[in-house]
Amino acid sequence: MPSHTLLRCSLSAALLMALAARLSADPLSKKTDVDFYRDVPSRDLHGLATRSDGRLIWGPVLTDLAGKAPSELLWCLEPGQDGKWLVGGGPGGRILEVSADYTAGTFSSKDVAKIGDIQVYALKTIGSGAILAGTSPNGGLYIVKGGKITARTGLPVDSIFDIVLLGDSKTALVATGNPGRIYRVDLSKLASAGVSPDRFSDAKALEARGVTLFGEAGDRNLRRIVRLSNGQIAAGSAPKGNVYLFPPDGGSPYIADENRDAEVTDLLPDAAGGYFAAIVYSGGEIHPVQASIQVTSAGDSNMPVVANAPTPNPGGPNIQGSSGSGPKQNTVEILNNGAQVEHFPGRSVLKWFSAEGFPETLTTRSGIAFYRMSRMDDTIVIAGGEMGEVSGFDLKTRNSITYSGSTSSQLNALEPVPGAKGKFFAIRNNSPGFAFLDFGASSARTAQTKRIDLGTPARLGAFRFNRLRDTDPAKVSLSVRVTNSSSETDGWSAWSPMSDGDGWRATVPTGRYAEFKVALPAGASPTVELDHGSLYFLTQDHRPVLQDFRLLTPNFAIVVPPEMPSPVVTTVGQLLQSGDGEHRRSGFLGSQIIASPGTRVAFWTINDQDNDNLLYTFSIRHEGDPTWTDLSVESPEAFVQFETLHLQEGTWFTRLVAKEAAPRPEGERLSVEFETDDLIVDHTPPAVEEASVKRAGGNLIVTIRGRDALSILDSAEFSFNNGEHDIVEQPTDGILDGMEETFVLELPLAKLSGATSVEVTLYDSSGNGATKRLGL
Amino acid sequence: MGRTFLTLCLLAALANHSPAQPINAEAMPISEVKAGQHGEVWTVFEGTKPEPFTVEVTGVMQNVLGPGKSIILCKLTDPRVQDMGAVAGMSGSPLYIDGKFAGALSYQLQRFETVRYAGFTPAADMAQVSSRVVASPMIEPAAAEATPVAESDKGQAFQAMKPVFALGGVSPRTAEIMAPQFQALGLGIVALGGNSEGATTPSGTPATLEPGDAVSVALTTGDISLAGTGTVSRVDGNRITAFGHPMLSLGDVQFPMCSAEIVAILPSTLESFKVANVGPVIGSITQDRLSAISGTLGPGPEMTDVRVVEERKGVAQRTLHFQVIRDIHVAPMIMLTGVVEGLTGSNDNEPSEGFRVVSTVSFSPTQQVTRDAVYAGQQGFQNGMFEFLINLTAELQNPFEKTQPKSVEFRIEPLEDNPAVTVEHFQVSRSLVHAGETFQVTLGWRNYQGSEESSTVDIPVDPSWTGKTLEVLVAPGRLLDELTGHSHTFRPGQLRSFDAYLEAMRSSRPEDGLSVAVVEKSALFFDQASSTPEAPASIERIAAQADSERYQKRDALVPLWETRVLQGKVSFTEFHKTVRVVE
Repeated sequence: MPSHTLLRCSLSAALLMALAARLSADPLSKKTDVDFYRDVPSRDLHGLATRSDGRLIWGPVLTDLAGKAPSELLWCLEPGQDGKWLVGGGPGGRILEVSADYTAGTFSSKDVAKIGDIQVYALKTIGSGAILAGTSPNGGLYIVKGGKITARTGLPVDSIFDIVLLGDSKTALVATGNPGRIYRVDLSKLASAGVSPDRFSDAKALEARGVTLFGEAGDRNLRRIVRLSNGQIAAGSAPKGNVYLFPPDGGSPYIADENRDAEVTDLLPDAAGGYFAAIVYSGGEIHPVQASIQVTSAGDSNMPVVANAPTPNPGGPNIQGSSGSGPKQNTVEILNNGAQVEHFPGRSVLKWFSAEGFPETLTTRSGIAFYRMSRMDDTIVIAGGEMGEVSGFDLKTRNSITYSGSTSSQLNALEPVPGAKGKFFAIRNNSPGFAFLDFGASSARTAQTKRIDLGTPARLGAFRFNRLRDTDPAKVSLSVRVTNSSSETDGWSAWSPMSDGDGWRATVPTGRYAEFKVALPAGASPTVELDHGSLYFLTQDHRPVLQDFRLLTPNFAIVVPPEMPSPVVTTVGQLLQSGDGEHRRSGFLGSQIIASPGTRVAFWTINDQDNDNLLYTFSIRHEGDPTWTDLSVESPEAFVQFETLHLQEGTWFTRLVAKEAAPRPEGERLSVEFETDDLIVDHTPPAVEEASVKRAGGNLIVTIRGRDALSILDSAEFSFNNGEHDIVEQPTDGILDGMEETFVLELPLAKLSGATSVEVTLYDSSGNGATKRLGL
Repeated sequence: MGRTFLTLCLLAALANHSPAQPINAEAMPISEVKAGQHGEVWTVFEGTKPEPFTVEVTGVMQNVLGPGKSIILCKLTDPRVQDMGAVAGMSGSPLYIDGKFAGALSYQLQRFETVRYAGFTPAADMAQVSSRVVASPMIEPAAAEATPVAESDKGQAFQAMKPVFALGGVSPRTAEIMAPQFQALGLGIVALGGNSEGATTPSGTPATLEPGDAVSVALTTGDISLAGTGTVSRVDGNRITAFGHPMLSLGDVQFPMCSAEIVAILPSTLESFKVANVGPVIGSITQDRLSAISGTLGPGPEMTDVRVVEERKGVAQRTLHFQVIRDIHVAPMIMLTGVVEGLTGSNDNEPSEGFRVVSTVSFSPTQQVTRDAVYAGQQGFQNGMFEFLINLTAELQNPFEKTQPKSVEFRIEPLEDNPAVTVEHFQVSRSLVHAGETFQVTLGWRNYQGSEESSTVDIPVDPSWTGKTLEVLVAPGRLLDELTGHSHTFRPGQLRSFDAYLEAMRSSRPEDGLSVAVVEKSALFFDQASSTPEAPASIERIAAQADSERYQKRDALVPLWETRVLQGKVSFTEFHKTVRVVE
């Protein structure tokens, strides 16, 4: 058979198509993990918290206190007298006194002073009702007493970011920006120097006003300073994000931790000489992102299923050391094309520096900016943003925690309420105001997941908690709502309570997205823990679709290699690989091709979106005969080979029926029928109508003209009796497209030495040949 | 003796028969004005004494100026005005019919007319203007509209009479340069006016005004004067109404009202006008409306004090001192007139080589904006004038406070040599420098049509630069402003107060010479016009989310070291080279 070119093309295309297709049949039931730590945003927690092991646990209640916004921007917080708070803000250089009614959830404020600079970034009470305030952008250091500015000295800096009072409370250290310095301030000297509108850059002039240089860092801004228990001064910088350690009496700093493109937003000393640092890596501009999740197959339920949320993931933490683990090959990543949210693209790191100086990263949170820290027993509570997040870290269990968040974008200051354990007061911005965080609040506790994307519209099955601890399942209320809309708000079904029986179930419409709300009663135990959940669902069954159907070149057969016996021992890798269908397909692709006159091979590619198992029935009928003859019945193979020698010559029609098979329930199986390409059965060789030989100009010219009744002509083969052999596939009219063609061979006579005859065979495209011998 | 007595008797008889203007005449409703009625119009033909001329009512052109705004059309029957028609400067002249005040002469109906007619604004329309209370002491920019003068230039025959805008105290060359600019503002300067203020009070200047008296509305007083002269239509106590048409259609205004003396009427078949001397300020014009202008006798309005000090080598310092109305449209043009007069108004040539202007705009002792600019060559003079005008207008306009500068001072210096230079080479002594060392930047330039020169600048390497890759930049101050984030234009909403506006206006670098700077690429965090480099990102995020117009983060160059070279020269060259600083 000389049609090797056609054969090669057909096989190559078939291979490509086969590789592109997935014929494996995954289990039809799917499940997706609902990791509460990943899937519940901070601001959707109320009285509950989520932990990095995916559990819902007891948490504080955050109340956004109601009241008239006292200032456009609020920067710093300091406990005042009589339970009130002093707050620095701007623009307009505002120092405010804020009173909060925690029970009523309200606050009120009044101006203590409006000072000359635009922003008040730092303030401290320094006794006798006086306030020390640091400002920006003119670097003013103010003493305010009785609502009046009693002293002002302009430092040779743009901003004063932080103030620390030293043990005697007569001296303060102030951290500055542009340049990043620390100044030591003799408060009594500063007070007696009075008010000056000037900015002093001369060291002597500054010293006369009680201000001396304590130390300078190599970064533009020193954002935070703390005094450690060993007397050293730790300072965090921006925009490098370095942590510096200054000697107790000042001088050149030692870099404890070097970073770049970061900001140390807070430092928190511990009693043992160590300290915690909150470091925020900005990661560029804030931009909209798309969230995504991964869904695993229920059939892999014996596998450790990890539903990884690609970074960045709103509300979803990225715990150092755990991200990226777990099987990925058998997961289907489903892009959520839904609503986009303004998202902080950076990440925050909580580090602990031991007294010996070695830093240890405790937690890393993507998409969250840490602002301020406070400590409650063995827990670090962290106020953050940019979606009002409150985070935490349990130093005992070494778990990261997400607490109730604010509706404002940022919580940028956090202070424990004096004398009230477990209660915190916070500043919020965008919109500005205050918040109250109460770990002891007794109220109903709720958590609402973000939108869980099932990838395709699906019917919900049971929601199952891995385990419930310290609670009666009857006290756990669960409700669900679904939608097919990408909108966060539009097109949702009503919340449907889920009843607990064999898992929590609800009757809701089919939907692509689901949200769950968990509620615990007010009297729930503080040790309650709800493990991560699993949602089972059945996706929509889609009808199979024919992607490709081909007939191999006639007169070739395939020998399918024997199926390998299943290994006795199953490996994890095998388990993660595709199932039977994949083996079957690779068997076909590994088939040997052999010449087999009269044999035809048909193969096809059918795509089933749901990876259903498919069975194929292939039939043929002669043109004019209505009766179909089945050549293959409900075979799982996506090919069929059959003899045509016994078939009547002429045009045959083919039919392929693909039908879904088990495990799809019988009543739900979809089938589809395709009438496929016409099959030409041609046993008759073409007729040679003319064959001639002539010599011209030192060449021998052999011409053969023929025709066929059913097939187009394919080529002419010329065999000389001196061994010379040629095949001509190009007819004289230039296009090989007819049932009647003329082929011409032109050879130099020199190549035909000793030849006396030539056999010319004319082939049609069905592989039939007619031969004629010509004398030379 | 007998002849003398006879003569006196004759004079007395004539005096007794001279016509008298009705006093406190009742206003005549327009419904009573009928065709064929005869009336008298009072105006000053010469000097300060109003005289009547007769007209005959032809009819009332109903709603001709809009709904309810009609014009009384009269034929000028008096032989005295047949040769001149309605004269620019007569606008406002009161018309009395049957002893009642019917309206004021205000519109010329046709040019080259063979029979003289004039239009009169009805008395009731003028009363509307007179009764208006000043809404604001400041002149709002929004009220300007197409002016009668501009309309007349389009060839329309029906036009409001012009006040005689006379520019005084300037040379003909200055007037020639500035006339098109004033024309664009609707101030058709028809004459170089006399300015009698500061000398002696013009003879016969009335202490008070009467209908028919000439009155001037000054836009500037002092060494330079610009005033429009018309006629008083009506006097109610110390409240006067004049012109019968708008002056600049600015609505609520604060213009000085000045007495005026008519020197002569210059007749023309095209356009006759009065030539006047402007007298001292006698009150304030507070309304500039469609039907009239109106004001109060008494003290004049607050004006901006302007001094133009000319400093020319070898010539005694010359100072022009004048006051300008606080109008943001007109004031910059008048101030520019002063500057142009300072540059061209002496026997010295205009500054063909270039000039320097240092302007100081003072809103208060602590609120000042100073600009120092050098302009090169003849082209520089032309371009400089307009650039100067744009800058000055920007400095006078602010969207934050209703405030105008108390005073403006210009120190101008015509230059003897063209200040333009061509910088031909720029060299940095080293590309790798050590902290604490000094490296050099050498500039070589050629003076305009002059010699080659060079200059070397020593740049000390601050230890804090260690480890940085920096740029040595040579650029004009304005360009360095832009590169370092100090834009000369601001987005709406970026600035929030007058102080911020002043801060933005005054922190520019000098425009002459070149700045040599060592700069570092950085991100600036802007709060209005002020910036700080590399502010902590947390502060940027919070502030920018709260107010993205006011708080902005922009990439820019931060100067670490800077000096100026070629001061007094003009160059638009920009060079830069990279320097790496190592320990």
